[in-house]
Amino acid sequence: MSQNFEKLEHFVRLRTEQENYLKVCDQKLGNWQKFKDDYLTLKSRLETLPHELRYEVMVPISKVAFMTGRLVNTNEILVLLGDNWFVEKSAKQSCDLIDRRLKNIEKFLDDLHKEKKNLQEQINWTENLLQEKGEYVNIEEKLEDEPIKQKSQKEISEEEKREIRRKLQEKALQTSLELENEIKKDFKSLYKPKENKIEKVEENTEEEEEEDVVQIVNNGPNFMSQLEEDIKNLDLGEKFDEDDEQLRNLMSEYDKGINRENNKQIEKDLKKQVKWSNVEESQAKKVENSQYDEDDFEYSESDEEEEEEEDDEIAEEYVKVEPIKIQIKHTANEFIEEQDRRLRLSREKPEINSPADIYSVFNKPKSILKKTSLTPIESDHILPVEHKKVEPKNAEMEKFEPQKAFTGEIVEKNVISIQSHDMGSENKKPVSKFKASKFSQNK
Amino acid sequence: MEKKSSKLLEFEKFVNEKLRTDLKLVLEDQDAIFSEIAEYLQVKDTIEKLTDANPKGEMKNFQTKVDLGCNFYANAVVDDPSKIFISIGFGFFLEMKFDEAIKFIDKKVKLLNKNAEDLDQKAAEIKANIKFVLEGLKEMQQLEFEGKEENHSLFV
Repeated sequence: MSQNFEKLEHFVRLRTEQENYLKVCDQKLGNWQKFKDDYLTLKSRLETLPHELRYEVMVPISKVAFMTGRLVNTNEILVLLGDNWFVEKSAKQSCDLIDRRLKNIEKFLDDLHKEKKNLQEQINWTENLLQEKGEYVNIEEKLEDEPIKQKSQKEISEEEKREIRRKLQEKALQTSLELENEIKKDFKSLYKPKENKIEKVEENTEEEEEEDVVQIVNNGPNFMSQLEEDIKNLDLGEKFDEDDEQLRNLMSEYDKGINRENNKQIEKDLKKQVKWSNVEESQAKKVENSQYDEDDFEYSESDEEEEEEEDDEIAEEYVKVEPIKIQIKHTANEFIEEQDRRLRLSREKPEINSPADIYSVFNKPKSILKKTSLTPIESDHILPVEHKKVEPKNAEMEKFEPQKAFTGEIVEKNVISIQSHDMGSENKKPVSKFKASKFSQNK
Repeated sequence: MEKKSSKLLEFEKFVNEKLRTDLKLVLEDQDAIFSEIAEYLQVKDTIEKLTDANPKGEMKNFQTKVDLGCNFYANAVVDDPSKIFISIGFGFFLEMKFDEAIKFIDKKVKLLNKNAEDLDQKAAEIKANIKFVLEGLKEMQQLEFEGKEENHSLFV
């Protein structure tokens, strides 16, 4: 398109078209000018007509014939108003009528003059452009290879991303279960000083968060390689530890990068905290959170609210029983958001093509923290399903199956296209032979 | 091949610029002649009406309207309703009596009709030429296309 647009001939053609239109415009202008002149002469005639009683004239019968005669009743004019309606007027009245008509004509003429002026400017513009085009040569370089490369890179990274996400999901699930169990134990043995452990975890997360902030600022193009290393280091058998936390943060951050959200946003989200030390404060925070969710995602609010209410209850219980401060920071918000997004997508299209989809259909992990707050009924309801679906599959199976499903689709399409192509060539052959034979016969 | 295509272009140009403009001019001429015929017939009609209204030539004068331009009409009186000036060509007008005028008009209309027929013939010729060239162009392009197809079938 752009190439065609640049071509010189197109501008030449544009100029000729513009000139043609200018001619049309001139013609219109001439017509109206003629009307105006006619009316002006008629007016001058009408002004002088009643000066005399009669004029000796040749009375035209048609264009090719006339008879001798004279004009009489010179102050009596019959005027055609249009549509075969005539009106009898005096010479003076006719003059007024002509004046009114002249105004109208003037308006038309003005418009036409404006149009002509605009057209003249346009023609000048194209003329200048043509001159410039003649003087200079456009240097064009085609960029074809690089975009393709980038695309392939993106695809790879997309698949990798999916892999990582699945692993992380599994990890998160395990750790959440563990945490849940731990917290339940803690709940039961209320007065045993096991909260230290949770505090430890919290400390760890705090440290890592700081690290993350630094990473966000510093992370540049070598981020991918870093991520890959982290993937290599990732081991499914390991427990929830610092590396995973880091990786998860990296992942979330990477997602952010994909979504082209700026670092400020990331920092802001990272700073989002859930504090259960103070009931009022926590409630306020939650309101904020829920609002945020409402704004960004049309996610079912009721579920969240229920969970949050349950959170409140538990938090209140904590407060009532013992005023221990439990500060847990919500570091990986983006990751959860990403999950939510995928969940929404999966709801719209709830097909299970790969094991990874099972998570999006059956699993709805908000966060590790919120998972723990689920009531036993709900958790029993959901979690076993997950275990059944997830645990029989080992990591290798998961690695390969989604790829199979994906490549299978593509192969099918290719097959169809190739087949159609073959069919077309086969159809062509006999026709061309036939025609050739026919042609030779004619010869 | 290029020579051929340039030739094709030349032919197309000839059809579009020469033959079509010629045809347009001829048709315009024809239109002008028809309108002239219409004028003469109108005069003839007027004369017949006047003679019908005044079969014995008793009428001294009659009233009519004169177009002053832009459909503004003024009253006029014709003093001698037995003679009429008629254009005989090249801007000359001749004063005639009504019966003479009718004879003249008949002759004139006949002549004009003949001219119109000639122009009709001319237009038909030009149209035929256009069609001929277009058919030729079509054939040339068809041959070109078929030749291409033959080559194609060899390689497939």
